[in-house]
Amino acid sequence: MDPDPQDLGRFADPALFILVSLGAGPQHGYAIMTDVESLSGRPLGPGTLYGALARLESRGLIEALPSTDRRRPYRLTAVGERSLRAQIEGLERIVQIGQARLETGA
Amino acid sequence: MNRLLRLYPARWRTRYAQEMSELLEERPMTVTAGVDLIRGAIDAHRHPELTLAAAVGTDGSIQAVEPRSSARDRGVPGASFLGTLAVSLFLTAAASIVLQDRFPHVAWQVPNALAALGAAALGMAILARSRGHWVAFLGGALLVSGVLTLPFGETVMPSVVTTVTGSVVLVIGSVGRRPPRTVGLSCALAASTFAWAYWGDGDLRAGLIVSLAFSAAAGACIALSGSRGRRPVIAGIGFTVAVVALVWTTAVLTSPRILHDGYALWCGTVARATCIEAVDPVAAELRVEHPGISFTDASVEPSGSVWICAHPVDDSALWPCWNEMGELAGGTTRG
Repeated sequence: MDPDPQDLGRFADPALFILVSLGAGPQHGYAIMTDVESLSGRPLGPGTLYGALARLESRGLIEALPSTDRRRPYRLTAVGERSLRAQIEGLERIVQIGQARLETGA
Repeated sequence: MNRLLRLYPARWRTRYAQEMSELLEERPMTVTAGVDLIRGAIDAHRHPELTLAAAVGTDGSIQAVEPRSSARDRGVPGASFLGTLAVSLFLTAAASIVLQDRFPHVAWQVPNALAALGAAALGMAILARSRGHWVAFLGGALLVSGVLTLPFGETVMPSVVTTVTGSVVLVIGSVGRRPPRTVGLSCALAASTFAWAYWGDGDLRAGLIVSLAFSAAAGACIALSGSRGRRPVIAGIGFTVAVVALVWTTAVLTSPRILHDGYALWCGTVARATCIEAVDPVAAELRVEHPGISFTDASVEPSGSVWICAHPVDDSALWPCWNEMGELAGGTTRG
């Protein structure tokens, strides 16, 4: 059974954005941070970034690759990819339901 | 900004500090980022399991390791408890000051309660942090017993001996051990608690002396444990100061002495509001200066022993009694 991303507390949203960011391929911390900030439109602090990375790594959703210079890239695992797909499908359902209800109500 | 990374647990730093440091060098430093790092450090201490499963290998790769709790991780609950205790001490001290005018009898009991609370906290901290180091634990237990019995004994002597002995054993048991730095902090807590109990009876000078003694003992603990041959001078100074301070404290507490300017000090008990000062017996004037004691009478025996009669100002029916103050320098003295 895949880990439940909802048990990440305040790190749930940053974790989702990180998974989305890593969906494009392996990236290191700074690249993830800037990508997440452009995706979400909000700044992502270093403490929050690495708190989320540690949680994703401990749950096996991402994995660290050998470091290059002082940077260490991360990539999605197979479990992480499944988790990301499941979360995106859940969000799509919410979007569809929300749009349908708005059209009905209008 | 990189200094904030020191707030993170050691294992976390081993795993993430290098890449976090690299990231911080690429970002402009902001207050928001600093606050976020502090929050992250608190979170990392609260969740040590996040970094227990992986460590960085010598070749830079991530290696799985057997999860185990480090001494630092085990100390987190104790540190949290001590932090809570510090806040409680501060708040209770403020309450004591506020209550002193309206309820002096109640306010006087606050330091005693604090002493017991502090001793209990100290016991828990030592128990948690000296795991497996039984000599240090024995010293800590003696230290706690001594502090706990201070407010209740008819005389302070057994408690002081127990407390001082416990401190010495604690220092001995801590030498060369891994957790003694935290044991040293516990010892400092004992100093503060003891000083507070003493100060609660209106004798700030004696409280400071005791505080100095136990703080020095704590310093010796830390210096000796951290030395391991690297800082022998610091260790030697710390230990010498501790011994001198402890001997001095014992001498001050166990006999009436002229401290300075003709003031004599004798404390029948530490935390039972019987600390009394007699002013300049040579000038044939004996006065009692204590905010909570009403001085009634005094007499001097042919042997030179001085007795005074006093009772608490807020409850004269409760405790009017004669207390021996000990022998004072000078001839006949009458208040």
